[in-house]
Amino acid sequence: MSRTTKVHARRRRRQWTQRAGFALLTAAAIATTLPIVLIVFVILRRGLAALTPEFLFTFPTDGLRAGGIYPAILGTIFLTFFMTIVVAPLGIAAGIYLAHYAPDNRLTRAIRVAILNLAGIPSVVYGLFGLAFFVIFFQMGTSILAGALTLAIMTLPVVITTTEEALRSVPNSFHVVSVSLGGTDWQSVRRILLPQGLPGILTGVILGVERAAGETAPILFTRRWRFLIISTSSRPRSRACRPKCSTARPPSC
Amino acid sequence: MSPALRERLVAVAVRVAGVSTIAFILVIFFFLIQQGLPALVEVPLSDLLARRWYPIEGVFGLLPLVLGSLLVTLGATVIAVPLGLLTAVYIAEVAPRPVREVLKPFIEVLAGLPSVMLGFLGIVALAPELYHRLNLSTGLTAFTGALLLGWIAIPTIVSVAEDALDAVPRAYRDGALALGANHWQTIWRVTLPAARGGVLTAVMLGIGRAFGETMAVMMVTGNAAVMPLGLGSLFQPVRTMTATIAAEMGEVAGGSLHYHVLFLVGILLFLISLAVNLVGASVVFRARTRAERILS
Repeated sequence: MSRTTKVHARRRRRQWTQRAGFALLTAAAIATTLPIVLIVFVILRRGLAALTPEFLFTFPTDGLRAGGIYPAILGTIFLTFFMTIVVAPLGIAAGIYLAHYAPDNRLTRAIRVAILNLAGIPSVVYGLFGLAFFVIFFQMGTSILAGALTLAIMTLPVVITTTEEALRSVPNSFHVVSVSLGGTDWQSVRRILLPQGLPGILTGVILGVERAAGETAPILFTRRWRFLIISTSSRPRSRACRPKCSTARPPSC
Repeated sequence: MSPALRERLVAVAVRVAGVSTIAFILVIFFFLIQQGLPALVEVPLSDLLARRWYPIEGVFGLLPLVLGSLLVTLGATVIAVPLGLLTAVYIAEVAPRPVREVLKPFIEVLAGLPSVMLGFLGIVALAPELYHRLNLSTGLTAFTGALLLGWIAIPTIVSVAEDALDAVPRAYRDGALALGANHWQTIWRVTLPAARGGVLTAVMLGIGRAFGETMAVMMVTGNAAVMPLGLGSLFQPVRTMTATIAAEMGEVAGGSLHYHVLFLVGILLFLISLAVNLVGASVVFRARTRAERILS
């Protein structure tokens, strides 16, 4: 075989590998997304019929077996509201610190590891912590306050990391110009970095709040648990899953 | 307030906020220990390592729970890691623009779906299906849990890995293509190795999500606290650590031995996730420094 045909053969093989590889990748993408599309479809088809104003705005009756989910919706709204009040300032401040103030030293590295770990702790463990710390130690009892504070700590890493990333993505020249014009650290942050990074920061806060609102395990022990399954599914975004509760509830309550 | 004072106050305030994360980790650990330690004192270690979990009779063998968690997480990992990474590569490198623009936000929304909802679907749709198709004695098995957890972990893996692949500088790809590599070779030999750190983070986060998942697992794994030994146990009910806490904490008498043991399970979960995260962080960190050394 001449040299050129050998090269041709190799090129053909390479092309074949590439085609097969791309087919594999496409198949994987389909395999991951198709079941999920199916899930959404199933929920919508089975659930939409049960979604009526009465279901949303009346109290449960008959030992939670009938009626509506109004208290659960209110509970979720209050819970996420208080949680946001706590987590947004704290998380954004910590994000500002990491993006702008923190020196590259051991403490900063420890903070990063701590954030990573906060993000990795299973949500039930937050529930246990909330029970031991807020409910028992601070004697808040099983209350919205205890639940909101627990969720706030759980959400903290999401808010911090997205805030930091949003601030870091603001071009450095903005900051340099601000300082060269005589702006102080805080002035640069408040007038230049924060307004520029605001969309990203809001994304982070919303992402965190959304995650917390859908979370169940951490508030198992810090709120009254009979409303729990209903309350978590009353998230505004996934409205389709609300009706399922009417069928799922009896055995668990 | 003078400007200089304000500067100083702000600097202190944001610093306190940053350091608070460390404080939270410590406080969480302290309070878990405080509530869980009595269990270690009162229950002998040999009992905790027993193969039976039967709290009503005061038998607290943690082994079935730990193995149950490991089995389900392992199953989910086997499903989610290859599928998730391949999907991420597809979205980042191969997919035509319109497909990519649809898939990316779609996957990100999925990462935020509440797991109770997926668990519910697991009960009403997935479990009966498996029960009939595979001819099992029950549809609520470790396999059902692994399957569900796999799909819970996939969006996390895809979205983080995709970001990492996206962040690889265009010049790397152009360089490889200019040297005569085709698209496929560029992906495997240049882009993926360059994004190694982020891809690893994606895998760790995905596994972490599967390991710590509570509600969905509690709903579909059947919750029988038996020792999962051998491959056959994949198709039998198991009970994970997370599900045990969630199911039993609501019913237990505060301050009882059972209560303290549940906190001990929590400590175990905390320590495992801590260990996984620390190892992951150090690996990612090392990969990054090596990459920086080579590139500089």
